[in-house]
Amino acid sequence: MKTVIRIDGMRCASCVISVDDTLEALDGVHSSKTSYARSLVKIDHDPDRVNAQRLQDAISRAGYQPRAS
Amino acid sequence: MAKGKQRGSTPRQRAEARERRERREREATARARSAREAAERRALAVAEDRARRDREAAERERQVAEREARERRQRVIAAGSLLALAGLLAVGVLAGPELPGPDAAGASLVAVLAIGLTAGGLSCLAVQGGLLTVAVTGDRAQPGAEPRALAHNAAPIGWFLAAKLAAYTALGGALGALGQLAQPSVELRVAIQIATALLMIATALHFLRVHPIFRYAILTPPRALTRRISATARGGGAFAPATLGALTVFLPCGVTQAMQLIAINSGDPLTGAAILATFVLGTSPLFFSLGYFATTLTEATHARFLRFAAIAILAVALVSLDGALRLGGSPVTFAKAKSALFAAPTPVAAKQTVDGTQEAVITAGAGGYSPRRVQLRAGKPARLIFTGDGSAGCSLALIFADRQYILSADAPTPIALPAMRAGQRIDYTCAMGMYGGSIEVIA
Repeated sequence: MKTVIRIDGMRCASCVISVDDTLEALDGVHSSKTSYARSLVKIDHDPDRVNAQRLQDAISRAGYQPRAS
Repeated sequence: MAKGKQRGSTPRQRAEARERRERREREATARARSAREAAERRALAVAEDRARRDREAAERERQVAEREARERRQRVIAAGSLLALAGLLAVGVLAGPELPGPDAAGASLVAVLAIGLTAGGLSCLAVQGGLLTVAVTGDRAQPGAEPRALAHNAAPIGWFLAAKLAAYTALGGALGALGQLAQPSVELRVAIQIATALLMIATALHFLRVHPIFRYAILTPPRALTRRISATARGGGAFAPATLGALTVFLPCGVTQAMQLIAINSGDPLTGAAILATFVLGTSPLFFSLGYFATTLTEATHARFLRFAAIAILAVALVSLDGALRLGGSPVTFAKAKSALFAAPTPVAAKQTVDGTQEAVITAGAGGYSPRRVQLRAGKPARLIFTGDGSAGCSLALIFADRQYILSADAPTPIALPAMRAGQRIDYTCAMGMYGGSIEVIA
């Protein structure tokens, strides 16, 4: 399943690394692709193992502000 | 009767009475001891509570002092950067009709250093600062990781900057060698310089949060590379920050790109390496400061930094854009506007030689070309002798009548001109359009 989450608070290109690392460390996330320019992340994940709320929580813990889209 | 009874008590009764009295005395002593111990415990608890409160108050005071010291350091850094930028601009205004810019940097390594210290440092920090933060924080960037003392930030920053310096020095050498093989055409130079200036302007507008579309101005490395970066950062030790520092060559900011163009223009591997090495050295103090305090900078401080960086980047971008317009022969440039508003330099007439040729000597130095205006007589051929003043710089990369000359810093370079008509004029510039001069033909 693919989920798109908008993210506020990314300050530079390296935030992309931080977001992707955080999400891909979650059990059930296959891949994460963050776009700094578009302020969003596309996540390929298994919804039975990790739901959208957990993805947003992980982004929040990494210091960014997720907005479901 | 009672007295008689007491007097008549048996020894056993008297022993029992004595035993009761002694028991009462023991019980009284035990109560007194218990009360004394309770009082001591209460006093101890009160003392401990007071000591705890004192410790908490001291801790609060220490935190307040630490925060104030941190804010003072941040103010000093900001003020230092502001002063450095103001100094650079002041030097530019006082130095002559041309503002210092990316091209001036090529003309003097001191100017390269100055640009690195100010606009270059700010611009690069804005683009590469995240990599530096990753290098400093490493796996402590993860939630729940233990913080560590600021002093421990110094080592990874040192490795980061050393590797960055080595990578850019090598890149400068390669670009200089590339320029030795083939120099880009004037049109390509103008196109690259305009693109670089526009990228810088877009970056500055992004930092000023003018519109979300300007977020596209920030280059991001491909995912394969970012995976490598994060894996490296988790590795710890010296290797991780050093690798991250070397990887900054993949995230050049606008000012860095301008410096890379100058390295190509130099047409010499050693000069190209020196240009980028000096530029990176110039950016290092700001990088070190930000890296050192990376874990303590507040959101508000970061926002102020971005606004300040945006202004510095805009200044460099406008200088670069002006140079591109000048190089492209635009009728509207900052230098022409300045000449129109203020008195133009006095023209110098070419000397007549015995063979009937006119001759003028023009010095290409770190501050541009001198004299900037040369007058020729109509109807006679002329010979311009361009000479360097010993300083290596990009005023030695001369664009004259759409043709490029790499002037020697030590030996004269003659350029022959045919006889021309009165009123004709040739404008020439350095390779990036920052310095220039004119040849005017009079009757």
